Amino acid sequence: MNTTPLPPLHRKGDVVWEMARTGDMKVPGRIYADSQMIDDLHEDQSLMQVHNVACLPGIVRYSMAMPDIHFGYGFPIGGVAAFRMDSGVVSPGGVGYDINCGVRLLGTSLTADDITGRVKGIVDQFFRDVPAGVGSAGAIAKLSRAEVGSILVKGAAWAVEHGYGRPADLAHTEAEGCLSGADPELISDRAFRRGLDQVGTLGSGNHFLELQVVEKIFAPEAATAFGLRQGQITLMVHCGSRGFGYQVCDDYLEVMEQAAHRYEITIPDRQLACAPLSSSEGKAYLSAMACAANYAWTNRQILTHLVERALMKTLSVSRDSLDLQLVYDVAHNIAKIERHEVDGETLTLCVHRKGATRAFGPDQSEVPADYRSVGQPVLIPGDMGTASYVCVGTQTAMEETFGSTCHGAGRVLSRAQALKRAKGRSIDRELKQHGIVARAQSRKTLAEEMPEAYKDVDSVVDVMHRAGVSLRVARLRPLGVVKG
Amino acid sequence: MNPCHETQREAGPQAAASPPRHWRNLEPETVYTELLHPADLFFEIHGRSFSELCEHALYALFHNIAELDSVMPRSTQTLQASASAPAEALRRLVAEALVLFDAEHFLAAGCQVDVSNTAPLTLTAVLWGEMFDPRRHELLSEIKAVTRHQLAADQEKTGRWRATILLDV
Repeated sequence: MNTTPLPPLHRKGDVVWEMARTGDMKVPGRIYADSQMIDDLHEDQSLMQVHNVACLPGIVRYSMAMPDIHFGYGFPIGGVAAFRMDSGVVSPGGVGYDINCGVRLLGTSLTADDITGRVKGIVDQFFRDVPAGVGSAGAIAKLSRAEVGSILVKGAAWAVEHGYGRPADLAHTEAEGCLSGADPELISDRAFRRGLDQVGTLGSGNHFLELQVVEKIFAPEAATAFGLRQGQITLMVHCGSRGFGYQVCDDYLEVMEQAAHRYEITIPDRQLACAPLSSSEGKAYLSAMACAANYAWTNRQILTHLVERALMKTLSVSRDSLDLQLVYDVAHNIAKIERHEVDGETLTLCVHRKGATRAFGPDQSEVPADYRSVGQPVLIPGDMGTASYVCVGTQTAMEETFGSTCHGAGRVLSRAQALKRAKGRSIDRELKQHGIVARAQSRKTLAEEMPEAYKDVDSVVDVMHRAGVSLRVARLRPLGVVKG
Repeated sequence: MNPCHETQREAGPQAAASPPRHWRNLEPETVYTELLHPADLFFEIHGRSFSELCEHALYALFHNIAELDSVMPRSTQTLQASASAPAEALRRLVAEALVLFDAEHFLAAGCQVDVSNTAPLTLTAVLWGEMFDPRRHELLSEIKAVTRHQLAADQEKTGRWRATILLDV
């Protein structure tokens, strides 16, 4: 970490702040936050990380931070940065270890009344049928290296071809569940070894499977387009590319360190290691990252199948009567090649979203045809005791944030602080008192992920709503949660 | 381009003849201290020698992956890691041990690390332990990676070694 003093912040709007361009910064910083969040941010290093990202070559317009910004490795979590293809860079630190960590929302035909008194049974069934925690093996047979190689190239379509879900699911998945350019030859043996038996597993930490009820609708037109209605039961899956993606990131941080040296790129933080997008190293990372992104989409597609099966079993209902529909699946740790208008010119850019969600507005060809008139669904998970949100992307997002918004609540307590606060308490009993059934492989995880360890998701979503970047559509209240 | 640094692994399913001291006999606070970090596991690790520092770093990793009391030294695994700087060699060794757990589900209960000072610095670790058994072992945290953030390994004036290492959770 460098010792450069933090440039001053100037308020540019209700919830928009600009970090003045100073020293080695190529562009200014832009932070979306309310006054309280800005005060809190001065206590950690994430604003300095916004500054550091602004120093990278080829960055366009701003180094941006969403209101759920917190400290990450290299880039802050909640960071967005776009780079020119000719002069810019790509950085694994701008994507994160969990490549294509993301969220998937499933709608059902059920209402809250349909599952009164059955929530515990449903959560217990999920806990049994959906491999969740550390070291858990997949619910599908261990795959061969060739089969995993096929997943890396085909993404979620591989899962559908093998009976995990429906072809229609792909249309409601970002990038239809597959990034092109994936090349398994660029994947290390370590990554393959870590990935072989983790397809179809939820993972641990902040990953979860949640049973929810649509508590409130804010935007009826968009809610109707997304198939959401008040009182409806929904399911949310939050997970990523598991050990496979972690290893891809780790492998390429090393490649990028050497590349940054070779191409004489000055980086203020070792974890900002990067390579020119036009270099062999930059292209190799994007191909390897695409493999991990495709692994993650396959993983969430298989988990959807397991969730559907568990729900049908517990409630003794048919697939047709359950009518599980994929509302949307969106990544929040990824680098994408996209076209955006900058100062009246359409540019092809590499947009890094690390702890940030794509939020494309209406009429964008990347948005599913049946949602195109309203915009892309944006899924914002909160903590397990409060709520999650469905929002919708806007034209303002296209103009201001390269079509990006926040991704969640963001931690405020360290894991150690959370464990300290949880001492002598029963987090699952506290959640039960609020009508939420929680099951976790480890009590430690439940304590670390306690609701007060996170920022208030309502405030985070409110900032982006007030900025006009992503508008509230529905608030989802948790009824049951499975943690790894 | 297939990323690969200098790390090797050998498996030995055979029972180890004389495992080193079982980690259950270690007092964690004499080996490592957890430093404040907003989201992940940040450790300061100490050792009387560089090899002991590496052993303690491996202990810190496995102590956070699982409750170690029930892990028995039934077989051995050998890991090797090389780098020109001690900190990077240490990081690679711990990272390789993480892969060993994540990919092969091997939990260690003790280890011995030998240091070869010929360039590049090469660490050879023999880990005693067994395969993860969900009926007997309690897992604690899922560790994603051994980061390079604030990575350090230095010998102090007293001759003792001190390292800082950050695990992404």
